[in-house]
Parts: sequence; C-alpha cells; structure tokens
Amino acid sequence: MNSKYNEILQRVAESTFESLAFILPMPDNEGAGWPTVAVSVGFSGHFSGLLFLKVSDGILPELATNMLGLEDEQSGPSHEQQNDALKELANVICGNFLPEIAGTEAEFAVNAPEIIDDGEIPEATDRYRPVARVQLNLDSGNAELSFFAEEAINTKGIIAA
Amino acid sequence: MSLNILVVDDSAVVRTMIVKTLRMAGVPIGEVHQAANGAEGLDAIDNNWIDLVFADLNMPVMNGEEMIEKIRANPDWQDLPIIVVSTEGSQTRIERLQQRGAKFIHKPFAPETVREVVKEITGICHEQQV
Ligand SMILES: [Mg+2]
Repeated sequence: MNSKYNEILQRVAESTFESLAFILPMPDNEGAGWPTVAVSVGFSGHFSGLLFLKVSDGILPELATNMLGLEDEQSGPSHEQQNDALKELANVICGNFLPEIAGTEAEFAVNAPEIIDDGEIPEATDRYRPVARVQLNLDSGNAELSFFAEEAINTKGIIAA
Repeated sequence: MSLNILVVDDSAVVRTMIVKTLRMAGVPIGEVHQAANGAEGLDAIDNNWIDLVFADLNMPVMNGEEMIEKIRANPDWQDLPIIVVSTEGSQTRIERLQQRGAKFIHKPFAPETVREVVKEITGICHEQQV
C-alpha cells in the first residue's frame, strides 16, 4: 500500500462526512464504539474495484437526520432511511475519490451501493488487491474505509500503488 | 409561475435531498415527480408536463446519459432543461453532457449552487424564504 492513497481517502471521506451530513472529525473520540454497519460500492471502467465503508451504530441516525433535514420531525429516521443515507455517503466518497487517484479524463461506472449483511469488511478479495485503508474518529462515532482495486491501478492510476 | 419538477435518481434519499434543497432555496415548485431510473424518467416526461429535470448518471435499467440522449432525440423535448446531479469526476463525460445542453451540479452540493443553476437554466428563482 502507498500511504498517499490513505491520505487522499482520509481527506475525501472526512470532507464528505462534513459537507453531506455535518459530521466532523474528532481526533480523541476513543469511546465512540466499534463500527458495526457496513456498505460496499463496486465500480468499473478505467480500472475496477471496490470501496467498503463501515460505521458505528451511533452515526446512522445522525447521518440520515442531517442528510434528509429531519431535525424538526418527532420520529427519527427509519431503518431504511438510515441504510439509504449510508449508501449515498459511500457513493459520494467513492465518486470523489476516483478522479483524485485516476485523473479527470478517466471514466468509471459506479454501481449501486449494497449493505453488507454480516457487517464485516473483508480483509482480502479474490479479484482485487488492497490499496488504502483508513479509520476516522468523528464527533458522532467511528468509521473505517477500505479500498480495493485491480492490478491495473499501478499503470492507470496517477500514483504508483 | 411554479415549476413542475422531475427528479430521476435510484436513491430515494437523494431524491428527497434534492427536493428539500429546492424548497430551502426558495425555488417555486409545482408538481414533484420522481423516478428511480432513466426508463421511468422517460415515462414520467411522456405522461406529465415537466418544466425541469434533475438526473443522476449511475442508475440501473437505464443510466442518466442514455436517458438524456433519448430525451434530446425527441423533437418535443430538445429544449427541456436538464440538470445532472452527480459525483462524476470525468471531464470528458461532463463535457459530453454539456454538449447535449445539460447543466452539471457536483455532489456533494451546497443549496446556493442548486439555486444558482436553477436560476441560470430557467430564469426563475424566488428570494430565499427564512
Ligand atoms: Mg445513482
């Protein structure tokens, strides 16, 4: 793994949490609980791969409430709305990360994100190699991201992996 | 005059976010129609009076680029205002969409950006309601 990829993924993920859901980084948030809900986003095109995002339970209601503007509602966001909000967050992180590492000429198709039933991010995948892995401490919980891509990222990415 | 809006996106959360942002920005909205992919979007345009389309790119069944191509291929819809809302980072693809007369809003977006683009494309936008 090249640490440059980690730096870029960290920056893109933090800025997406902030601009999409007003959730800010909080360096010392140790007691926020381990991430337990996970989502995956696959993509293909210039090169193919997968992004995984896992967040602690506590983040989900805030994520959905802020994204949907439900602050004044009596009842909180539904389970489905919380999952949809998480999927969209992963979609935006993936969509903004790709041009950063592949340049603005490269074209990708980003698939619809999917919730991972057992809530686990795999350590490895059959088709792809690990490229970046970061953890975020946020004001409402913790998040973990893993990015996998095919070997071609070495020649088609703008940074050597 | 208020605008009949069509929001085409496979994510219900995103459709809600776009409509919420339009209301916050004080855009005068008439009917709101929603579609989950390009094919449903074309049906909605066929069956309703639509003034402005918001379109996602990555969608199942029919993606946004194909939908926009089909819209422009119909002589009745050649001038229909279309705003693409996407994380798309490929300049090549964005330029292709702009050549078809679509405007582009990059996700994540600020309400002011949506307001500006709607104003630019339709000439209509009320003052922000506080
Ligand atoms: Mg989509």
